[in-house]
Amino acid sequence: MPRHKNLKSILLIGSGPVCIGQGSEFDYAGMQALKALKEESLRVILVNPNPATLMTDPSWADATYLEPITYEFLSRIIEKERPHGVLATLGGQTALNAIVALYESGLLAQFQVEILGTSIETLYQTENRALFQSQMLTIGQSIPKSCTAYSQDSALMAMQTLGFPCILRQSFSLGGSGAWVIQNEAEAQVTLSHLNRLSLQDPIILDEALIGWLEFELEVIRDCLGNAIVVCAIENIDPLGIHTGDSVSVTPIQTLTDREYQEMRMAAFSIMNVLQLVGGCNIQFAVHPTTRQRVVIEANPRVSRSSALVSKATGFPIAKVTTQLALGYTLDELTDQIGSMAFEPTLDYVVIKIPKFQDEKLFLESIPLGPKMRSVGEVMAIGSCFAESLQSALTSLDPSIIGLNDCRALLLDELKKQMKARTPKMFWLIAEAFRRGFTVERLYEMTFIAPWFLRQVQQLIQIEQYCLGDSLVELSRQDLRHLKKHGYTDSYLAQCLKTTESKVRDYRKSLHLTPRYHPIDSTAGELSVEASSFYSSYHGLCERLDLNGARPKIMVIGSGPNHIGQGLEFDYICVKALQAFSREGYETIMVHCNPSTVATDESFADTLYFTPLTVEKILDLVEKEQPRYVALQFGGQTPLKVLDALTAADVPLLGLNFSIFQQTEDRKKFRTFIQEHGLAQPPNHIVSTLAEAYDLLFFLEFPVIIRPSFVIGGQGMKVVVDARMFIDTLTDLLQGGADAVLVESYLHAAIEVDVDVISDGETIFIPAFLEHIEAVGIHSGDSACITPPLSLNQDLLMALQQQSRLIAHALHLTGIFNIQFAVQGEKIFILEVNPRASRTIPFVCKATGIDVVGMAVECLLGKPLSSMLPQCPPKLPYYVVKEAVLPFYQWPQAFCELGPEMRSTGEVMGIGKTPEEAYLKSQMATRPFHWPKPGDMLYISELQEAMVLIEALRRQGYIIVHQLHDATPPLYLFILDKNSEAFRFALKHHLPYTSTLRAAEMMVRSLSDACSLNFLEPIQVL
Amino acid sequence: MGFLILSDGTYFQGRSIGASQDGVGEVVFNTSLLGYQEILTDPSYLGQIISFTAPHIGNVGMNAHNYESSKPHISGAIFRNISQEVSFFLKKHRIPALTDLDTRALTLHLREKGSQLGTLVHSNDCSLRNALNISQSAKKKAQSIEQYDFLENRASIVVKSHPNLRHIVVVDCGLKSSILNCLSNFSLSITRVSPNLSFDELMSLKPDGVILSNGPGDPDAYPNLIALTQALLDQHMPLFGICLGHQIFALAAGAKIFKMKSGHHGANHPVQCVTSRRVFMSSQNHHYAVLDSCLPEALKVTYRSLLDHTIIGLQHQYRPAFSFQGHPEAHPGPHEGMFLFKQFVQSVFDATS
Repeated sequence: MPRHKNLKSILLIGSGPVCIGQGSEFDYAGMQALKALKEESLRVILVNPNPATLMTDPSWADATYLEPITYEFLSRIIEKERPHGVLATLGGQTALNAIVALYESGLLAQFQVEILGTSIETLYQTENRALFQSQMLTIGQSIPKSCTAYSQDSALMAMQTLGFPCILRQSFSLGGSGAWVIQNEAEAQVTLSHLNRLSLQDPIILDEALIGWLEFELEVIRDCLGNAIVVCAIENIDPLGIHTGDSVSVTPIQTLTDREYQEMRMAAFSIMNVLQLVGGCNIQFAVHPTTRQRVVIEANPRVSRSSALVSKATGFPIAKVTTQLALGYTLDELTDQIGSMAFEPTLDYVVIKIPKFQDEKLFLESIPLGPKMRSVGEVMAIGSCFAESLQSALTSLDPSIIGLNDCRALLLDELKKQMKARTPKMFWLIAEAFRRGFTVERLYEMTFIAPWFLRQVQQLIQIEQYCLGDSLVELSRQDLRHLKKHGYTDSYLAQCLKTTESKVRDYRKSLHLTPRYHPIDSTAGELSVEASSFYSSYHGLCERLDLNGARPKIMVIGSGPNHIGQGLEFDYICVKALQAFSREGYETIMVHCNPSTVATDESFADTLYFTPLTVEKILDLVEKEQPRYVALQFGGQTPLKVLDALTAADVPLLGLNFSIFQQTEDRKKFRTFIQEHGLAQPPNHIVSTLAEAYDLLFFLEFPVIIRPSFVIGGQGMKVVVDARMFIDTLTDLLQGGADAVLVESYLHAAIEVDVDVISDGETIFIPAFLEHIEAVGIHSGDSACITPPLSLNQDLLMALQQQSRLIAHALHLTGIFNIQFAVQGEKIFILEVNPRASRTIPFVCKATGIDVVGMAVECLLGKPLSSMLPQCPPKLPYYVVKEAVLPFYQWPQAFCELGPEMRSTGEVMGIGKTPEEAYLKSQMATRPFHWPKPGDMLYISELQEAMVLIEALRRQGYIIVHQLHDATPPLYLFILDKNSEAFRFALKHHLPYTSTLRAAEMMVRSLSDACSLNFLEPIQVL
Repeated sequence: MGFLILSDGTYFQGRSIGASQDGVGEVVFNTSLLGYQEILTDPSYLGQIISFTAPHIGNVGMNAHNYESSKPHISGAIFRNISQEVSFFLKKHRIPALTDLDTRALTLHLREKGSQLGTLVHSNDCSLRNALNISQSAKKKAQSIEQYDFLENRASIVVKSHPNLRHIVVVDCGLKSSILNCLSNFSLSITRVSPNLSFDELMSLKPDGVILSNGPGDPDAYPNLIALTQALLDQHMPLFGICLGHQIFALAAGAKIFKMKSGHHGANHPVQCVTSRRVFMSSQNHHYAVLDSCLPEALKVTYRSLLDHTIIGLQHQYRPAFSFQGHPEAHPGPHEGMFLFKQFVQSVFDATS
């Protein structure tokens, strides 16, 4: 069945800002969709306010709207663009919610917009728990049992029916605090009478406790004829009860029999059929570890995080096929180089995904992993066996992780406690437990991790105990090969044998032990496929051949797992860099370990390597590929971790070198540099010892800002308000190994300005000056910013330009770098220089329409800026605001005041004719809030500084309150006095708020009558 | 230590974990991720050395429900990683096996050069030269693999019998027990018979329908069964050929067979219904296929492989007979093809009522 005839233009809804649970995987999905739609020569209208995404690059869609994904804006875009169809299954839950709202309003019917792919009825059936359950029962699929009881007696009876253990919840409980696991009838009696004493009138919900059940996910694709395939099945190593996004998972599945798997597969097909799903879908099952009973947990009628993982693990483009099926194609009509897309991949390697947690940044360290997702990113590793894949995945999380050694110092009690507490360190804990002689059976009881996986870790410990003696030279070639085949890293061996990584490397190479590269092959070798994606392994023969192409090679090192401070932006930069290098005649090689990126889509680099971004793996690759250059500056801070070692190994680096890096990141050297060149820093001191810190106390005027050396995302940076906090902070930092720490005076009434500078070595080009809305002291990633700047005059801009040029010359910077300035009156201070592409670049590209990364690449390859367009920064006839999206609504526990350490997970942008319009749109894009209009109630702190604002709001007809009541919440909160009650109130009621005076002023102006929301243009026409 | 030595001289090193003996057979790979127990006990692999491409085999041990026959009929097995339970099982049944072998390199070699004879040389202290010598002498032994008698000298075995039920006779060329299990879902009398039965012997069982089972080797090695099938077709006997049985049916109906380069051995093979264009996944394990170019007019292609468009299903235009090259009984592999049993039972009822 060819595609629907009448489709000429399609509205594609993106997923909005990156937040926990909805990340860059949807940019990857969107990109595949865009490619598929362009292949069909359809006009594509895209809505996504997230400027960091590749999908919103003007080169992809025909009309790209960086507008909020809300009913109001979508309806105006539909009215303006009149698309024939809308595609919402590739933009996560955000897009699904949007399409439901559009449908329910009747707007889609009014403008005759067809919903492509999965229908609205299906969405209802999967979203509504009761409907879903009844559908499952009609096709004979079991689901976890659940009932509601209104009295103690009925609760007891219900529990007896459900069986023990079961979970008892109070229906109103928040955050899972009111949930009990009931093991037996006696416990039930006790808990119920306890509840009775609390005299709670609310009904009690009883759920079957599937504690310790195994969890499986099937990635299924179905077409409109009912043809269906399972692209891949995933086994979550963490048992049920931990969110799949927070679970370590493995594919192919390891602990089911064929019979069990095939029955699960047929169940998935009947679920797809009864729900009439079209496209990619994720179905989750749980299996009892001994009775092998199977239940359906849920069905997600859209592409998901797991789809991205599976696509990267197998090479099967789920999002692209989903798009094609939504257009009306059937699976048998679609082909790729293997042949038909109606094909189930089979693998001869093991893929492991490990989530990346930042519990320390979110203050979640004391909370066990549970049903609510909190990981901020993920890595994927591939190995020829489980052990190789696992160790590779662990080091992919962070190049500084050295194997399974982390928990050696733990006391036994602490080890047991942590293991039961379900922390993200589970594999390190298990390894340590095996070292101390725990049995598989005992660890199973403690963790509910299937024994097969435990035995794999146990085997690793046995191997290291058997192979590792006292010194490196005693290690035989055979043993070293055995260790390498099980994924042991050079750095781990060095640590165990008390030597250096480079000595292990030299020794290994002297024994001719180097990794081989195998293709990501969805046929397990059965069919000959031309591969461009590879993984490294110590098994087998090297299959990366034809190394000597005609073109010179460039190797781009990616940014690793997404985390706070380093996300989707660097994916955008890497992909744009790859494209630019290709245009310049280079053969491109991408090195990455993050499955939810566009950079790891096989179509952007000539060759893609899925490996950890460690010195060992990168040097191996450099030796194998012999690239002309390695580029480290496009992947954020992560690639810079190997700069030192790559320099020592004489690897040809493009642009960036170690001395530049030291001059800018070492606070002491940077301070000298600034002074030598007649530039200014905020008044500051360098502290290297605690004694110096105490000496300083006499001179300091608080607050001060503390900046350690070599950081990203402001890690360790703090605004310090008094002497005690000052000493505590410095004690922590210095004892933690920091040497030069910068103690910087806080600049009152200063404006922070971010500039990204392109330099050809002679001249520079600054595409945009980004003026921060929040005051100095709040991390640039958490601040809103606006361009063109509002409060900088032409002279100041000229001065900033001059200083930028001076820095570029003095540091011999070519390509792209970033400077953060602070402007206080007429005075200019330099806060930081980052000698690499920065987080703001995608925003600058979208705001100005300039291919900043492309220009930088040309500069790096020796072209003068004078040969490129444009010559001078464009005069923008509109304003653009970037706003940060914070994780506090999802995790109120994580709430803290904004400061120099970054907390935001994503960003949005707003465009408007006026600064106010742009600002308000950016705020609207962060979350689907209900926005106040004159006559609505607003909360504002009763402060002297706020009197002007209060007056202005009153004049506009807003009702101003200074007290908060749950019954009558205001629509917006101006919390200017750090009132923690008010913050909690805002988070609890999901209300928008602002916490700084600058932002409040901007918001007040935006809420005034003068601010209209008329500007609605795709970025292609700007 | 141990070696796999292919007839083209290529050798692969592994660690011997099965029986302490050598094995000779045609080396084939199987890409199924799961279902190793079913594969190891599938009689179709008689005389072959199977190499598993999946990275870990044996993770769920050996289970009572997953035997396709009472014992393995293979000549050897090759793994990348294997569990203890499975290596014990192989030892018990005197099957030599190697693990820690580079199965991917082996797969690619077989894919490029075609499947070929190989010797699995077991030894605790074996040099490569010794292994090569052993392989030379062992190969001579391999030339004369006798046609195996799965019924152990019996002409027939009654599986299920009831006077009022339709009677299905299953010709056992190396039958997987899942075929019987699939038939057991219907109310039928079932008898297993030897492929060497004469037409009269078969007819004396009063069958209402006949299934030609899967089995090892070259279909041309079953001239008696081909003749028998021709006679059954003449009788308008409802007939269903599975895998080898599909090839026998095709030959009986006048088609020709060719040997494929490395065959289809996996659980992920897409097939498409020629008329409805519906697609489903199937389990396949065959080295021979029906030749497209000289298909007799009486045979109509019902299913084709979506990978290489070879014939996977046939229907006789004038007789109640059809066949499927894959394994509708699954185990291992997808269950989608099971409707073919229903289709067969329906044809039996149509023919007899």
